[in-house]
Amino acid sequence: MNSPEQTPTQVYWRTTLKAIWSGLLTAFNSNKTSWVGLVLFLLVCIAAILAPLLAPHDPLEQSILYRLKPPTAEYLMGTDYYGRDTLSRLIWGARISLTIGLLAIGVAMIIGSLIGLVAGYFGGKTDIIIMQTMDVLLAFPSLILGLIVVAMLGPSITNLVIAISFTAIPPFARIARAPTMAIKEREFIEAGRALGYSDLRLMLGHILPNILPEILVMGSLWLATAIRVEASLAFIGLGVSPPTPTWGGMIREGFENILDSFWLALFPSIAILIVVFSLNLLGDGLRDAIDPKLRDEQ
Amino acid sequence: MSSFVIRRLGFAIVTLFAVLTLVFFIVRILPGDPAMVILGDQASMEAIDALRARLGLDRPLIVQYSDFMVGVLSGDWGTSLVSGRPVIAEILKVLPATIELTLVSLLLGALIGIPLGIWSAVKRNRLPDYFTRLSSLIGLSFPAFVSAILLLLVFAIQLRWFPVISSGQGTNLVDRLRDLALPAINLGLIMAAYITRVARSSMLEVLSQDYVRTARAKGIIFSQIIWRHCLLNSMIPVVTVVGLYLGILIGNSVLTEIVFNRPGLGKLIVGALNQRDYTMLQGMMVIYTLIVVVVNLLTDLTYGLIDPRVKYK
Amino acid sequence: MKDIEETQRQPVLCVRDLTTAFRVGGVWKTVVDRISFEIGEKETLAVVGESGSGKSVTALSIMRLVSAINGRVQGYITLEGRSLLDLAEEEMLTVRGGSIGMIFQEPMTSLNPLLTVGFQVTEALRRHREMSHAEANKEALRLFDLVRIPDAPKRFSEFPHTFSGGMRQRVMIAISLACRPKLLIADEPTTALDVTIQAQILELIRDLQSEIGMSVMFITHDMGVVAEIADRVVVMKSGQQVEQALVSDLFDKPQHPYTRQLLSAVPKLGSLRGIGLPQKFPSVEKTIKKSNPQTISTEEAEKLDHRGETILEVSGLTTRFPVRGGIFNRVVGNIHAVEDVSFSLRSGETLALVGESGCGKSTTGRSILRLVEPNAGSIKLGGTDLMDLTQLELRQVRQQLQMIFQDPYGSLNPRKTIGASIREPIIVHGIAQGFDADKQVAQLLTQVGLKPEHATRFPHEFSGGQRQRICIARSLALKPTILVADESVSALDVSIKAQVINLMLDLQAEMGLSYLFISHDIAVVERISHRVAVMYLGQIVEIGPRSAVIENPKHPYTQQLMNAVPVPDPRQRRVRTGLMTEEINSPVRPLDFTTKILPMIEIGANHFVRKWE
Repeated sequence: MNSPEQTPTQVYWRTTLKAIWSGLLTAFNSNKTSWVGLVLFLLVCIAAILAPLLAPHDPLEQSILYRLKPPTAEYLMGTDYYGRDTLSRLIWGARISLTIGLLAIGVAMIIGSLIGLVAGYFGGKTDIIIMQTMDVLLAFPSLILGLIVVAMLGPSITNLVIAISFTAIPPFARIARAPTMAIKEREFIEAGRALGYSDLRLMLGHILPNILPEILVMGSLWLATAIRVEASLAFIGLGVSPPTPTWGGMIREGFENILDSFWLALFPSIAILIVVFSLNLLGDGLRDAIDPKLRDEQ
Repeated sequence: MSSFVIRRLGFAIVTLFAVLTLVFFIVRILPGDPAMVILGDQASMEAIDALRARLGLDRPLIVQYSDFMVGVLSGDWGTSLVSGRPVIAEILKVLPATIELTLVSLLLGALIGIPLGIWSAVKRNRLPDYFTRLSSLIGLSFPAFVSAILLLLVFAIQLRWFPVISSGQGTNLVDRLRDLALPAINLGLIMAAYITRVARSSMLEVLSQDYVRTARAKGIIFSQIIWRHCLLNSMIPVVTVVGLYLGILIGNSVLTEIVFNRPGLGKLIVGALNQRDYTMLQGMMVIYTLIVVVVNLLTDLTYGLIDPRVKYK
Repeated sequence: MKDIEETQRQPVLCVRDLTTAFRVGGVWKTVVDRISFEIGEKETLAVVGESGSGKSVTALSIMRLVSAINGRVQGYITLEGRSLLDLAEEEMLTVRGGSIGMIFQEPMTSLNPLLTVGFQVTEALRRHREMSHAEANKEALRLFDLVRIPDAPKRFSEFPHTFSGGMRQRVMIAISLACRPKLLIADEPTTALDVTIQAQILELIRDLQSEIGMSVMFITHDMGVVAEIADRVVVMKSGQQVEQALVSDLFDKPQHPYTRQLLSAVPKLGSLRGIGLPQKFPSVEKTIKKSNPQTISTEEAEKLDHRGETILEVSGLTTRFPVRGGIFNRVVGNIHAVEDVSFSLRSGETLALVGESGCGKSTTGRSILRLVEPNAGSIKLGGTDLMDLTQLELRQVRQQLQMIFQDPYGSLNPRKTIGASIREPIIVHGIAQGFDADKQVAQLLTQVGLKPEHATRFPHEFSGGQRQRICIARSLALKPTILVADESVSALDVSIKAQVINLMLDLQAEMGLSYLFISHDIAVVERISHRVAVMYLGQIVEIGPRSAVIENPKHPYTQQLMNAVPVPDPRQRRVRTGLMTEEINSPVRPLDFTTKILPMIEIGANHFVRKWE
């Protein structure tokens, strides 16, 4: 059955990885819009990574001569109040938004899912206490929550990541808990207990792989929200401190000059819109793919 | 039914206490001495100590806690460090504006979202469905302040249909409506996007249920099936989402209030943060907590109204 | 039974060359292939088949409830001469619920939970018979009485979740009868119900049929039910019509090989009369392993009794679950799931636990493994009382006592290859590592009749019966001495059931395994068990050798149970009385309740009956 070079464990992992890969492909293919979302998002990520190469000007370089200029050949998206090139700031700003978003969601995904897993698995009092806390945090306006945390801690990338992940943990806990409770009732879990498996093994080895799709879909959808929240916080004035370019901050400055230089607010707005929309497309398409009820059935 | 209501009420009260306690500790436990944060690094030790005494931060924690709780319950939420006026008065001054905006936006969102979601579900995978899904997805992708700015640009600045600055305190109805229009449309459309999606997926789920199959086997006309059998059943998740997103709505109202320069809780809290108005901040957190708990309670009670099975849980 | 001249009158329903196809992933798949049959007045036609045979789709096609977008129905369907496929949708709406009534399988989900039961009945009345509200209410109450729902005026304005499964099915029947249909289509209406409730519903349908004068199309997979109620039978397999005959002809002289295979796989209660030991199912088409000769004479059977010493002794087992309610979610009562249960099990023996919903048989199985914690009692496995052990010590003992579950789909982790699932217990308990573990997995797979190469596949690539065999292989990995089988074959098709039972019997002969066989299917129990215990409301009411308990029941509940089992022989149709509306009692009790435990009396060789009032 096995060739001598492969241990059973290796065969197992190869088969499992192949299954995951084909599962992903099926999911993407069943809903073509998710491809669009993925491609768009990846384009933005590539642009952010290649910022030093792509940006035509130094985003921090001020110019007294060319302040508040509309789009020209040299400054494709115009300049802001300090004469800085909007396009370059836009590309560099992508880095901030994406970094904060990805880190915040990554942290929230791990912590939130574990919390939801534990609550759903153990049930009873543990569950009630955890979920009541999560429910209250969940209902708390996430922007306000983020606002308060950042105000207390001070605006830096780390603190922004903390603030945003704090608001994202309860939804992940929720989204991990419901399928955990459903799967816990399924007989392969009970079979595992009859076979003498420990709770830890059941939670991490059996339940977690089965709730991963839901968590990942949530991840892509919340990444969109995280980027929105980061922009909102920057708009209020609690984003990463200037002169570092952030999209929200750019819109804020644009808002102050809205009556005469509307392009300053327009371009970063479009940028946010594209990123958030592509992530929504991606997450939505994936979610339709994995939820059997929403598939094309009659 | 009454035991259900009592149970939920009791629960809400307990949650309120728990969260207020949490608020109390958060404000005190976060890094950085509040007095120092308020006065800045350059302040002298005497000034800091004086402020701490004035804020009551030098007393034992238990005393502070009981003072806080008693204060909250009796309506004494402290005095604003910036304006000198009672916090609760400041909050009550702007609360009606926020509530007005929230409720109107919610109504708008529901009036647009629910029928659109249902229509989209019934015409599944055909043109109306694609159109609705796409537009709701786009609607969701706008950060509230972006859409607010766009609305402002187009309708207020270019077309001059609505005032650029709305005070929210117009004397006659027409003025108030004009002030309310753009902010409410902004929030309402975002709300509609969320509600459309949830109404659609909920209706799809209900349509695939066995009892709908039974109704069809009874020969009931399709429109009556939707109206009698599906509508109420599909509203349950919608109620959940509305309750949940009420929080988002209140958050988004901050952004809308800033863009349209409307008075409200949002502007108040941003102001308090910027000016380090410590007691105001505390009061703000209390009011937000109250709102959240009340919304949760109302959501739960609504379930009890719609779903007869809930009372037996 | 129908005589010839009656069938020559115009048939109520006439189906010719009915073909239904569905579009799945862009490709059209034929699910029903040229089915033809007729149903005469007051006649009952049974449509029989296993899962995937297309019998439900046939019914939906007749009702034109098939999706217009992804489904295609062709052929001729006439109801009293009127072609149904040619009707416009509005006209079809009058037919549905008006001329043809339909009831479905799942009573728990077929009623709208947010509308009162009364409304759901009057809705049909107002739709088809144009009654006013008052008239409809009156008629609905009359229908409630007709279907024998007790306390009708009160229950009229209650919601479905306060009704039991059997009661909900009666409501469904009332709804479908509201408009005096010519034809009632019943799609597996009793499959989800307990056997005594099933008997009540079948009798109700028969009575109503003669009162109202309607025809019935009864879809089922249960040959016993077919024998009970059908006049004629259509057998379906993979969408095709395989045989059609009068019911007596079908059972006596089945023509098609599939029908014969189906009938041979159906356990017939009473067929083992006189034989003391478990017997395999005869001539099942695909046998898994080389098997012993099927029918053995009694003397030879005695010689094959390989049972050994007693290895499990359960005594005084009691398990209760708290019921919470009230304002503060306090404990307001208890479910007395298992009350003072005692029995013993010998090595190589199969003891069956039978009973209906709520009797406590599943909980007993779980309590023995301490998957739920019993409140009292002792479970002695080879001298050690399992109740004394800590969780850690229990893990060791778990190797000897294993369990197979009901749902072959849910029993395996869908994200693990089946090889990994079988290997896991071996590794967790340190029995073997690496290649040794792998060799054991291959061995186990072969033992249950699968190929070792299958180990790299995932559960969804296997059928229900194969998955159940994989679960058996997994539970054998720890080399247990006792296997608790909790409704392990209940979810399988008839012919697959027989294969798995045969496999279990082979394994028992090879390995000296003991089984605690928990089931509600008494006919299956008859074939596999040495001894039978009957449970009701958490207590064992009768226990003894299989032939004694099944052929000669003494306790009134056992008698009622045996009486209710439909026998797949039309000649043995019984006229039932007195079972009309008894619900199965619920074991929920108030806090301070102490169960009265009456003593067991020995009435025969090893045959005990509990005293009753």
